[in-house]
Amino acid sequence: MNRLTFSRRDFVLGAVAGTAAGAGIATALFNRKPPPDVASGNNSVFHTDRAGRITTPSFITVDQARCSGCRICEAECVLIREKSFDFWRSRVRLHRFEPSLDIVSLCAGCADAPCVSVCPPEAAALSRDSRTGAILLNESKCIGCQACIKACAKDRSAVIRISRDGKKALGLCDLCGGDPACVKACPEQCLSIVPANVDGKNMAASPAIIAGQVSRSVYRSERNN
Amino acid sequence: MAHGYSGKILEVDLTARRHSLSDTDMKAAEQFLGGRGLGVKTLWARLPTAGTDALSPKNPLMFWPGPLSGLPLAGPSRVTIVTKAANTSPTEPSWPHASTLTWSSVGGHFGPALKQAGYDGLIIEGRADRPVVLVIDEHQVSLRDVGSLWGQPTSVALKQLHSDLGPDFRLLTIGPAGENGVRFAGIISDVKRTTARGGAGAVMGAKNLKAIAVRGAKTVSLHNPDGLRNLRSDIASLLANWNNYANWRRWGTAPLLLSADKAGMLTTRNYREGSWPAVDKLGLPTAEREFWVRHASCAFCPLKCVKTGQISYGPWRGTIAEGPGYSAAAMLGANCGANDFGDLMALIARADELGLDPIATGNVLGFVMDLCEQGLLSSADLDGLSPSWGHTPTLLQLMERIAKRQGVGAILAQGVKQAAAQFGPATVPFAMHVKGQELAGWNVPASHDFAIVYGTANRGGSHQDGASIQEQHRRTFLDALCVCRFVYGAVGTAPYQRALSLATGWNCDDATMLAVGERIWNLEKLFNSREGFRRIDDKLPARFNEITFRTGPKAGANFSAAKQDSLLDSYYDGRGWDKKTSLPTTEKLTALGLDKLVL
Ligand code: SF4
Ligand code: SF4
Ligand code: SF4
Repeated sequence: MNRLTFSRRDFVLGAVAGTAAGAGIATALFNRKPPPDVASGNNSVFHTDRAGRITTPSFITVDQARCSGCRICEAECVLIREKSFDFWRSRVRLHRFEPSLDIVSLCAGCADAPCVSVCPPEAAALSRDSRTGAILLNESKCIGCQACIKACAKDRSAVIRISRDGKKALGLCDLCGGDPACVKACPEQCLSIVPANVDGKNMAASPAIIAGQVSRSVYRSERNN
Repeated sequence: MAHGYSGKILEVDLTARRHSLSDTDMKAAEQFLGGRGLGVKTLWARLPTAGTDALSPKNPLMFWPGPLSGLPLAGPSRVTIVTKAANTSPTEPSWPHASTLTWSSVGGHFGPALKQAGYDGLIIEGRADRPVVLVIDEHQVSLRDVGSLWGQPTSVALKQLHSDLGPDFRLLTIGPAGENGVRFAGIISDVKRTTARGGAGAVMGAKNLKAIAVRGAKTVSLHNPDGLRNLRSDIASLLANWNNYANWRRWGTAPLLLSADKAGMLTTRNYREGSWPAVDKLGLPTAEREFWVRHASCAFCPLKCVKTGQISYGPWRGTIAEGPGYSAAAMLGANCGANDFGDLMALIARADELGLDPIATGNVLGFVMDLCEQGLLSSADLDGLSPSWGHTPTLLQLMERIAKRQGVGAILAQGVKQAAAQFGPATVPFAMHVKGQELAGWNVPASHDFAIVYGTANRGGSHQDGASIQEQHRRTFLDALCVCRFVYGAVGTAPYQRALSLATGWNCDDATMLAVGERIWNLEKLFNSREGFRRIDDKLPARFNEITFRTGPKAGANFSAAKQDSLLDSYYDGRGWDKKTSLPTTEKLTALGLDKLVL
């Protein structure tokens, strides 16, 4: 498993993907206090229990420039996590851009969780896992109102979508309970589970926005000889 | 209940602007699987007589995934395109428009997406009255006008379509070459893989179809899903333990250039030599050190052979290109006398943008330069251009002319066989093709196996079809499953035989596998025989009998006419075909269950 706490690229991406870039960096780098909504764990050290599951609120971050677009993570999620071949249910989604780029999107567990805030109180289908920090969807409670879908689509990753029968939300990643299958399976090791002392919301953006940014760093209009 | 198949084929009639569903013929599926197999079976049924004009609305353009497509296994990532070829012809045609069938396959994500959209195949007939893009969003199928995208290079079309439709659509598109009916135009996928042999891009252009977009996330019923889940991990560990795994992920097919050069199998300056002194400038290590910026994979494969880079120096600095894969580097590089990496990548980038088959394009350009060197063509014949080995700016201009069919480009756009017929008899020996299909990036004198590979490939001069009868059948089986050649090279056929059994419940031992391959191969042969192809069409260009390598590690290598004949004799013997005509015998057809189709 990749247990990078920070790579330079995460930092750069967080900086450009965040809505308030400057503030995002400062928080990420200098303020090691847990984000307000995340139940506190021991954030200074990265912990796993004996089953190899994380015990610190965390989220999965993507080194987008390194992703090969193989969709092995997508497959892993449906096969391991959903025990099915139904790709519609994968919580990781791949997107293709030109010039050649593959952009991964998955739930970033944003500290302010707009999806949780808009879930109607009579449903209360979304909650945060206090150990892993993941947003959990209780399918039996979900009334299919799509409020969370709209909230996530507005200015986060747009990973939440509606089930085929139109009745339930899906796409929220529960971090496999703390031992994420996709992270282990990625052949490029571009997925890492990192402690939520960086607010995932800085990484959350629509695939098109991320593609635009990554493209500028991967493909240069001018190069030094 | 048929496992492994959706049971539905999407049929699109562009003339009527209508689409419908037909049922997958499961009896045929058991015999022909999918991909190249169901493709030829369907082509045979749809074109009951010989001589259909490949560019007419009648020629069906078909995209076939296979029973493993859409399953999360490394390997079955391709889609096989089957249609009547736009560029081949027999030596003695009995009617106009006689041509072989062609199949060509392309990697990426399109095939899996088509299957996940719910289809075992996509059959396109007719011709739209104005340029369109076909959009398949599972059961929602629509035609949209492409407007100003017609005429645009492939990267512009891909970018525009992704932003119009959404980045989770998978795309195939043609470039100006296909729109304008260049006989060796290809179709390019959104991971920048071209499928080109046989001119499927020209067939697509003749239908006024600029692009196809598909999206889907459906599943089919599977005979043994748990078994497939385990097999998936088995294939992953077989790959990870492959002794070439790290190299392949890092370099793709680029190192083949160096090894082919060493083996004297490279195609240099219109096939006259088997090695090229500047070979080390065309691939590694330059590609890795100053070109590649990212590596991409086809669906569910960790090998990431799709290498994308940006030219970092010289006149084409900033140009983004995919490669250099072996075939394109051999044909647009060594065969065109290129001695600079940036030059090579500029040629590859232009071929991709125009939607030209890089292999055939390199062959055509080598042919032109050879003729100029021999004094058989001059700038007066070439719109004032004087192409010479390695002179990239002139070659780029020629490519533009070919793609737009301007001036001499209109002659060259027919491919070397027809161009030589027009340039005059003295030029004919320099046209390096089999059945009108330009030969690819592997030379013959130091590796006579390629006489069988190129000679007997049913789509004409192709390098991918195997040198022995058994190998031809193994590869045909894999093409029917849309399994990538490279993954096959790493893990063999066994995992896919097993995958087929687990997906469908059908037994697939070695004998079954080889029988499927042989059945498909023979039906393709029947198609070609009906069009008028005979033994003489299985011969390599006679020039190979005159060339003796003068330089390189295999100096002195040659390929005699006698060797050519003896290779063909024993090949036909092995196949149970008549040696004189090359036609399959009645006994053979009966044994394969094909007799009812023809007798
Ligand atoms: S961590 Fe698990 S649930 Fe989340 S996206 Fe990865 S595989 Fe799916
Ligand atoms: S497994 Fe890794 S490289 Fe492959 S698509 Fe997912 S993130 Fe990208
Ligand atoms: S080996 Fe390469 S070409 Fe084949 S499926 Fe994998 S990435 Fe694609």
